[in-house]
Amino acid sequence: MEKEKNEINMLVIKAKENDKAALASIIEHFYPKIYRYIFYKVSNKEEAEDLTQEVFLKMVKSLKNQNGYFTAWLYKIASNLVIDFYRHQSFKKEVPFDDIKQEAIYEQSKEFPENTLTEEQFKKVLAGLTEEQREVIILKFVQGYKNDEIAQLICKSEGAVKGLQFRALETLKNLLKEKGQYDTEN
Amino acid sequence: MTQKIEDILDICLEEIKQGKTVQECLSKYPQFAAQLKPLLEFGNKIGKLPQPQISHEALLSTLIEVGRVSAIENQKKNEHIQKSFFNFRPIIIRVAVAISIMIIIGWTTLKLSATSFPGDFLYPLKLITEKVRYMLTLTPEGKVEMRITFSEERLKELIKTVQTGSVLDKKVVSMMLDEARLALNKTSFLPQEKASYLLKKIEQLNNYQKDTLEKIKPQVRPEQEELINTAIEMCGERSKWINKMCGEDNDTYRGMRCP
Repeated sequence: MEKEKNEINMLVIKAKENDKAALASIIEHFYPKIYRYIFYKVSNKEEAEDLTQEVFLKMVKSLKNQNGYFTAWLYKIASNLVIDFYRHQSFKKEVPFDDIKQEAIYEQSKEFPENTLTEEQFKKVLAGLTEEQREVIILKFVQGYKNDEIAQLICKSEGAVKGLQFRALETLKNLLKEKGQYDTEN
Repeated sequence: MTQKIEDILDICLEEIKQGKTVQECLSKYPQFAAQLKPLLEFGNKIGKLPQPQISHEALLSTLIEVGRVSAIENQKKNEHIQKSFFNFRPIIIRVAVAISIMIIIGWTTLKLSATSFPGDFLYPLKLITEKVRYMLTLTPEGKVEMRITFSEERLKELIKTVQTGSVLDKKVVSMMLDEARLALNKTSFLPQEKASYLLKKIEQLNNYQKDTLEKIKPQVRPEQEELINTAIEMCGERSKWINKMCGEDNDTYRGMRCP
């Protein structure tokens, strides 16, 4: 992890000095991670791709002013863009963000087959979590980050990350159990 | 110390990731087994979800778009640097103009103060300028010459004040006599040739001051007659004294050859 972090830091330094190849390497390295991170937060693939591109455009525009942990900075851009995206969406539809989440939960309860978990179902059930819980679940189970890395990315302690992880899994289990769509006993 | 369920959940998730089964892990924590089992199974299932595949077209599109934006940003940056350079030029010009104005104002003020007289607004500046000029004079003979000049200047001021208001400024009289005295004192530290020349000048200065004061005496107010008489007397005596000290019988002054 440390080696990767150092390599990224070197690429970032070069990219700040207008090295096109370094910039391309950063994008190639982070694109799948950022895409997956956004994918589970928005409704479809196209929106995820548009937002992922937007993240890198924002990155290149403000790279000169970047300091601190680059990965955390990049995830922060992605997180803020998703928030802005939903704010914009809810404004357009004049439906509050919470209602959209509730609707998503309702829809998932109608569709879940027994004892299976598909990508789409997982996305829908995630909407029932708080922003921080969702963040931890995606970073841990989708992106495969370790607790200390997640703690750095979301600016929390490792203890807080474990707590969020526990509460997130509890919430997900309860949501599914209520609807009787996901039987963990099987 | 008892472990928190959050920590145990995390340990088990890590062990399952390393290859252990849910049951193996739960067997170590029977007290939490019921609560942990659904969470571990759910976590396990999330971990096994297929990763969403990225579209290579989308990645390529992002690379192209980022390259385009990067080029625009660099162009903007270069324009900004050029603009900053051109913005900087007027600052240099402004600073140069401000310095020039300050020099012109300062120079004009000093020039005006040089022609000022006692009671004028710029007169104190004239005296300060004289002090600075004296301090900046490095050679002893230059300092004596400077004192002679100052003493002459005070005499000019006395003439002017008497002509304009018949008033003899006691302070200026005192300064005139002091400058001549200090010039005389300073000659004792000079080499002989230089000292003889300057003593001659001081003697002439004293004679000139005595004659001039006598000429303006009729214009001076009666109550100031005693003051002008004292000044005339002092100039005369100082002149006589230099003469006496450097007379034929005594052709040295403080061990120097007289003029």
